[in-house]
Amino acid sequence: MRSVRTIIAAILLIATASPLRASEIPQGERRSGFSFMTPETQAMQKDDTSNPGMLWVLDGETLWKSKTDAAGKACAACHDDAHAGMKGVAARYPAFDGTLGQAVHGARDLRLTSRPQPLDFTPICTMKRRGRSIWGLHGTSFSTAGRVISDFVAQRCAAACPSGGLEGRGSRRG
Amino acid sequence: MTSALINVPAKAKRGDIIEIKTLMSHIMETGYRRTATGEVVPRDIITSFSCRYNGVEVFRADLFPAIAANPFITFFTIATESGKFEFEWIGDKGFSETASASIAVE
Repeated sequence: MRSVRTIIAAILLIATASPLRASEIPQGERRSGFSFMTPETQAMQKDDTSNPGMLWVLDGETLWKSKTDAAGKACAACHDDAHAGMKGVAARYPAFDGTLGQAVHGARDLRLTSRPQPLDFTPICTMKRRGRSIWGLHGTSFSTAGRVISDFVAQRCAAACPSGGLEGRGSRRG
Repeated sequence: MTSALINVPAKAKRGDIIEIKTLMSHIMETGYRRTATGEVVPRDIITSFSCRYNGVEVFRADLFPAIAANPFITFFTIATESGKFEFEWIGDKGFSETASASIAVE
């Protein structure tokens, strides 16, 4: 009996404690983990030339402007300068489409190519912008039925966002 | 795709010691590795790097198979006058890349 009481007490305690844990930090007080670093570490992180990862960002910048696609279009053709146009976009990808049960990786799956791209981790949509780098992955996990599905997604995408571009609808569904 | 990252201070005082950092994208294949079928993977490395400051060579390095991929080379020089740093990487299989950066010395 005593142990049952202890368990109930514990459950109550957890129940009352959880709202505390779930309470969010006010918008104004939120800060990046970057601000907790020492100045030396911050300087190291700010230095792009010491970070080999930035080589891929440069590659991404080149890919962004090059017409590598079968449709003869570069990313920049629709999205202009990624420094301005793609700010914050990557944070919303890959988006998961609940209806399709598929991950939607980006516009490249939907509008540019005639065939779905194999999933590779080329950070094609990367642009160098300190503190707000965009690391978009392209490619898709669409299988053999991918063509049908991607056409379907393209239609839905166009309907949901007439201005074109998945960036507009962004948030996760499902 | 070849790309290089260069870090040269945009400006410096005359006589200052400045640090120059370079990072070159390269696989640096040693030539000692073998494929699954036992064939030697041919050597493909950068063999030399040089830096010229307004046409005068201030730094040169020879690179060897033990150097890891994407060689990061950093060195110091004295800022004497405003001008241009020119970097050059030369390697196997006709690899040759150049990059440049300018500095303003007051």
